Amino acid sequence: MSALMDDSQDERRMLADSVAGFAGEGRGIARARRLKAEAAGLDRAAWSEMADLGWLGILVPEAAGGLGLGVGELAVVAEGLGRDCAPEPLVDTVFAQAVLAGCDADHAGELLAATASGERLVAVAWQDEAQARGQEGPASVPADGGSGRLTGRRALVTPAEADVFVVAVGGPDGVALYAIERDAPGLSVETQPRVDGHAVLALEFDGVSLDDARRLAGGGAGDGALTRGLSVARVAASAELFGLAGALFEQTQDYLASRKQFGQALSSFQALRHRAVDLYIQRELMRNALRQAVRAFDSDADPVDLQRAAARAKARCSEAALIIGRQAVQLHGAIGYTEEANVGVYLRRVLSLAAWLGNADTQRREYARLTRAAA
Amino acid sequence: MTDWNAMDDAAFRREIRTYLEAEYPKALRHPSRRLRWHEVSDWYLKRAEAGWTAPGWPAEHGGVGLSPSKQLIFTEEQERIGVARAPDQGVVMVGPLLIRYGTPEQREQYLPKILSWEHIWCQGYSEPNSGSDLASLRTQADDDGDHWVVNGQKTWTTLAQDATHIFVLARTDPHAERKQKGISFLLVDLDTPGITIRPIENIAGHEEFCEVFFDNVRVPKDNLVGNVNEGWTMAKALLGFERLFLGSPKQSQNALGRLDAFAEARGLHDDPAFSAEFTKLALDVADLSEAFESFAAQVRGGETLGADISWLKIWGTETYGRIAELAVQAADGEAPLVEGQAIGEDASVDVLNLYFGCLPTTIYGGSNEIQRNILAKQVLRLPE
Repeated sequence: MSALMDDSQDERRMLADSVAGFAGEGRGIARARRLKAEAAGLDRAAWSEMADLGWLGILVPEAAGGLGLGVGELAVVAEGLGRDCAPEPLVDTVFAQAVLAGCDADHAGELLAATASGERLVAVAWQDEAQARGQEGPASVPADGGSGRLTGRRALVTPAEADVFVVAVGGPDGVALYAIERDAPGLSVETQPRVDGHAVLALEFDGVSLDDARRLAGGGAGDGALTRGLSVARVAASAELFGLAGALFEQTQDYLASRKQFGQALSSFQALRHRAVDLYIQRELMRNALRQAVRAFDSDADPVDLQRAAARAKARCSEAALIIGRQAVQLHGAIGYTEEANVGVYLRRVLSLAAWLGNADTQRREYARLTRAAA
Repeated sequence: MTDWNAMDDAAFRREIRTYLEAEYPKALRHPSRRLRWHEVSDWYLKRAEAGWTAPGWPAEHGGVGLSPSKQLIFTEEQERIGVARAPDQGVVMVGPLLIRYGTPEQREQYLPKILSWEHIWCQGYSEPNSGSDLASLRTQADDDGDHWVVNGQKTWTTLAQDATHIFVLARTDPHAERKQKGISFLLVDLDTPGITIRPIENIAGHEEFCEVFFDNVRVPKDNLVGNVNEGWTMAKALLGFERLFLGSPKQSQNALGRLDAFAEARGLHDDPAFSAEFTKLALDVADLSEAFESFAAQVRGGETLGADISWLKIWGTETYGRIAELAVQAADGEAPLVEGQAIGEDASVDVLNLYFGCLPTTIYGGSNEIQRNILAKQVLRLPE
């Protein structure tokens, strides 16, 4: 079922089967509906089931209780969860884990292990509202940690249930990273609802102490950790978008074939047949953009190439998933505009992930900047 | 004799690249229009002497006998350096057809002359009223004892004015139950009385294709290929992995490179609006290339291409079109200048060339609308 495997990759095939089993008959979309309708927050039962299956530790080294696998395996799981419209914050968690994995402080490793077991939820806080418009990377992290205290804002922080934040702070030597507990003195947390039923956080730091005990990575070391984290997370989000868009496309294909008007299947009308083909092409483009990104990680390309590959995948997947989602609603007609139909639930998740860590325009700017800098 | 197929792919690629770099004339690289036979004949005759007219034909018929995987490398290297295409219908269509369906006499008569370029073939498929709906063709071949008498008209016949022969799909049974039945495949010498060739000037001012008129043209019965009334089936069976190249990223890559050079010279990359458009196209080309490689890997692995290859042609040619459109926009007031746009001392870009270059690509080889029909039916299996 997945785009990301060839027959030789048994590990990925087994993971795909395992995700399909977990998804079952529409369990994910049922949780997504409940999340939206009841503002239920994280479904802890589903989350610990995912932890037991090992998915929260795919990238985490075996020594820290994870599976020690790669981005290719991660993408298989994210795609499968996307197909099921599962709302759990796997990609958000992966972002935090990939950042933590690049930190040298001892307690970074402890935090990493705690995220893999599902015991703790960690969120990366690296941008303020202004930068959220052009979420480029370490260069845009605010330098607001003067004299050992942090005073400033971090926006669009997920998952909202996080109990500790990995906070990026700019400085003359580059980005430093600190672990700050949710209940740290001087930190206030504001919750903003997101269209898929999750919330995002805006953090207000008022003189929060940046002491050594909290430091995960010193000035400079944080740049690489954050950059890699962004690249990994963008690929993971791309894979989830690919899964979401694949399911949206297939639902639409089925609907066109079964729905009758004027005494004939909608799919008999050439305008709609050609539209379906154009959506199919968008889905194939996602598959190819994602494949090159996974290959870049599989072959351990250098960080700039990984950044470009991730930006390329996220640009394509964000854009194409929105095209497919929008057209899925259109091709379902009025029923597609209702809560009863599944396509809307998928589209709300697509809207959330397409924007997360930078939308298609932002990714293309990033890609252009990196390409021109390399030339 | 070298066993090319035994050579590893990288070594083979190196060999071909070195050969082309050294031997292929610089002036003929990446031509901006389809070149005529007299412009490319030196190169192809030289290759013929070396035995390299038909890399894909089996060695016993005078080809090189390359495996699909090696042929792919050979074609990729030709594309890379921008080798001008020959009027190659003999190599691409007639040879493989005769090898598969022809009589020993037909092979003996025609194959050596295709290899030596003594015969140059053109393709008589499309008609004024049979374009996308090719099977509706009306050129008629009537049985007259030991001859077929052909009447009708073919069109969009590429480089007929340079050809010595034409292969024709003609209707031999007007009463067949399906229009695809009742069509036969005929080999016709263009010197036969009753044939008139009229070049058609295209939108860019070049004469790349022709109309061919048949007025009581007598074709010997020996020139029928395969069984009578089975021409359609044979023509379809010949569609092989060459379809891959309808979706080649080369045209788009070249066009993007020209646009990049223009943008660089005029400082357009500093314009955020242009840069956004350009980057979007660059990624469209990058993802096209990735997909092409993935289909090419199927060919290398010995798989037959499925109907899904059609999406590559759609995306490739439409991407080329969007690049050409952006080039025309970028050149602004200078766009309609027929001598192009200067980008420095003695370099220039010709946006009209890109623009006119992209126009036929979404029409030929099965228009993109036909490709969408194919995908809807054979890949998406949407009920009609």
